[in-house]
Amino acid sequence: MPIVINLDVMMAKRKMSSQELAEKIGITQANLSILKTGKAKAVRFSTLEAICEVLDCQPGDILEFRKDL
Amino acid sequence: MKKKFNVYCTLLLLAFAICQFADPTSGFRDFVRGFNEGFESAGNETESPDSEEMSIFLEPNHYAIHPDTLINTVNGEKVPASIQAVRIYPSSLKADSVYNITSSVNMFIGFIVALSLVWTFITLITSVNRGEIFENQITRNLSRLGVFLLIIYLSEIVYELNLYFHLKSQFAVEGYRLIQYAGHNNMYLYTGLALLAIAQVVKMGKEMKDEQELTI
Repeated sequence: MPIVINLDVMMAKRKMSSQELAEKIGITQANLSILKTGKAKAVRFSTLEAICEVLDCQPGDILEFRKDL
Repeated sequence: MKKKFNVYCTLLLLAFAICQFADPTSGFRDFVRGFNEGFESAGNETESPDSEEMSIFLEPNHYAIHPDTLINTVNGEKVPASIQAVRIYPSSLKADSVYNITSSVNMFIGFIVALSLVWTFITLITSVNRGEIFENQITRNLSRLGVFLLIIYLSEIVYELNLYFHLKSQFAVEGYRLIQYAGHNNMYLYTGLALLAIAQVVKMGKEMKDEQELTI
């Protein structure tokens, strides 16, 4: 899929652990892992909104479109 | 919802068992006939005739020409007639090893497939009762059921063809030709194909379910 999730990059920038982020945005660690590894088929706007709020970033910082993939 | 499903499945299993293993009408007819013949043979102290009869289906060589006539008993007039079937005793036919082997193998395959069909159906019912509805196991079981029904359909056709050629080599009536006995049940074909289609629907449902589960 040409959509890449750069969640781990943003988490590293904000120095936030997976457990902490999962708790703050209200999803399980397993689901966060699915999101980070790019196995997710879709992301709800509510989840994206929570991630952006917690990590203080824009959706474009997390989602990236790469044509070559 | 599961209660209804279980009731329908039980009814289906019962109907299948009745149709496959114990046709109630023919069973009753055979019982009455056997009883009467046994009673008669006991009274006459003679051997009972061969009770196993079979029908051979005929059609005239030319549709416009009726090879036989019957008498209208009201006015004594002769009316054209065509015989559609004759009854013979299979024991009067010569033994044919190819026919015997083919029909035995066919019957064996049909029996095994019918048993597998019931087993797969029971597995399907238990899976659904466990809540495994849109799963690969259900798709596999539905596909298997469809294939089994198609095999039973084909096995019936093979049996008919085999019987037709067996009879054709030993039986001929002037003015008529033998026709293939069309006793196979087309419902097996329709149901088999419908189950294969439903299996694909369940497969698509499983893909949609996976997609939904991976929506974070």
